[in-house]
Amino acid sequence: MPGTALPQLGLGLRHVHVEHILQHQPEVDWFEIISENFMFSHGRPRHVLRQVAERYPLAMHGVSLSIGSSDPLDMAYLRALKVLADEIKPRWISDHLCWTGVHGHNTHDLLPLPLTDETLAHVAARVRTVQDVLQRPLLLENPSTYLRYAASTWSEPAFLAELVAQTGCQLLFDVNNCYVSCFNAGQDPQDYLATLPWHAIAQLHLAGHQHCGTHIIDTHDRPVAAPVWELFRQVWARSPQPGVLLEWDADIPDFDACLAELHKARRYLHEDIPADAARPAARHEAISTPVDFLIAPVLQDAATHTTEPRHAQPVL
Amino acid sequence: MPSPCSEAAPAALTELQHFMQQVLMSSDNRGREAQIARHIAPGPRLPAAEHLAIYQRAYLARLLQCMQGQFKALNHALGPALFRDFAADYLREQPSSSPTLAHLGAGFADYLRRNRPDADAPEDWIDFMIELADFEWSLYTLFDAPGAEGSGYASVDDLANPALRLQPALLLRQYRFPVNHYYQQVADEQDPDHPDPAPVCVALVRSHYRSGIFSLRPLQYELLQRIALLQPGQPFQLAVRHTLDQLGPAGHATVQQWLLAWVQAGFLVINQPYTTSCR
Ligand SMILES: [Fe+2]
Repeated sequence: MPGTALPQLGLGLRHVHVEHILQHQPEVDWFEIISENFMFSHGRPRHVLRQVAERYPLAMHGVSLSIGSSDPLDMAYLRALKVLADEIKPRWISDHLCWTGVHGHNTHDLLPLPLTDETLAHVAARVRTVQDVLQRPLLLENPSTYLRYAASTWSEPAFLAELVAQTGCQLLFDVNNCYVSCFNAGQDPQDYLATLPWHAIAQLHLAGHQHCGTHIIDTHDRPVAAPVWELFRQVWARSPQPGVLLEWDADIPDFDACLAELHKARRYLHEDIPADAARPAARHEAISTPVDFLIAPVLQDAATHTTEPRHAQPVL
Repeated sequence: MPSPCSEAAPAALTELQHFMQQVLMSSDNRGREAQIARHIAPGPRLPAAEHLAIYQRAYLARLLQCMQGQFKALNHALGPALFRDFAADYLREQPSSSPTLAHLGAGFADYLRRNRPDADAPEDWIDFMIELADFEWSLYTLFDAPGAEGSGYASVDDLANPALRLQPALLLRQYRFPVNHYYQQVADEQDPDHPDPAPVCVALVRSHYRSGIFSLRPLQYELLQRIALLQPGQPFQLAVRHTLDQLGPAGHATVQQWLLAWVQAGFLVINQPYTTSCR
């Protein structure tokens, strides 16, 4: 029966926490990695990932599949994704219902798709190809959106439900993204939930956002907002025990603070915790979908080893 | 392996994405008001253009943040405002075309070289910036480049082995400015002045997943260059011979000391000289 068990709680694996994780082996049910951080790595990131994979279950979460782009699917990218998956054997492989660029470019943003019959057929065909390559169902995540296209004829949950029906893909339902997108579009999240294909939800995301008054930005830089926890409670009760993951990608606090925020998920489900007071609207808009956490901290790394060969004699 | 989707994307989707990418990357809506109104629905609290503007503001801000992370010393040298101006121009000229952000700054040093603001009367500080960009990017790529961690490094017992070679994660660089010292000072959270010209040779080396910056004497640099240029099957000693001639009678002991230090620092590997790559 949905919603009765304790959730399996996971955290997004971040550079700044890796040393702590390997040293202290904290109790976390699983970690989610950003696939692109490791697919092309020949250095320490991949090496460290192998060590993490020995101790923890992993999920692979991508940001560059661009499943809805009108560019052809990048087969080299897909093959690299499969190689990494074969190596670390993740529980899930996910990406977003979005496009990231055309004409060979990558905006590194998760851009919304016009939700039309044509887009549905296009995305469904590509999901099938991806699943054929990966030889497993793909999980697609509902992105945070800040605009709606005039051409859209489907609601997002109905679009996702049809995609699930046509391809057998699964869903990574981001509760925060649902809240953000609904607010920005002036839609009631309850209406969104009404059409969601619950049986296909394999994973949930939680994250913090920034309320700017007229709109909400998905910033992943702070604790989860009270109304998102409320929504999470409802979603969990209706889902088939998906994995629950906290994303924290900017202004990342120390590992224990992230873990404490993640553990709130259990308390929200099983204790009666009053929602925090609403936070005031922000004055300065933060960056949506922050990505600079993906940049390896090379400066500190190289600086620790600056010396010429110790025994070399000056000769000239 | 299944074949990739070969069907063309729907025309309406292609047109919309082309439009969206253009407005994102240019952040300029002038003359596009009608297109915006046609494609984007107004929201409950904001007009259509304001919804689009949320994406436009974030696009460049997000990527500039990444480049500031990839060029921390150059960002320090230029100051964040000027750095962002240069980086924004670079991103407009060469938008990312990689699935990973790790390649974002790959063309930046070259871009600065081609678009130097002092083209008519070259100034030293611009040369310094270009060299610092090259240095920093070299170090950045080395961090995740193919290395010898899997196959192993040469040991002191291998010093007479003719198959001794430089390991793959090693870059040799020569600069007119001491960019390595400047970089180190920024890493140490100091606030160094722009340095005067003072030529440096460096080896950037990653061994055992740790990157190191090694200052080299000119002769050391030359010797390492010769080792790098050895063809498969040529003995290592061929590269050393020329340096021995230059050093004179004390040369042998000196070169042995260098090699010992380089082996200990993970500069060298034993190649499989007669295997050829089939891929
Ligand atoms: Fe998410």
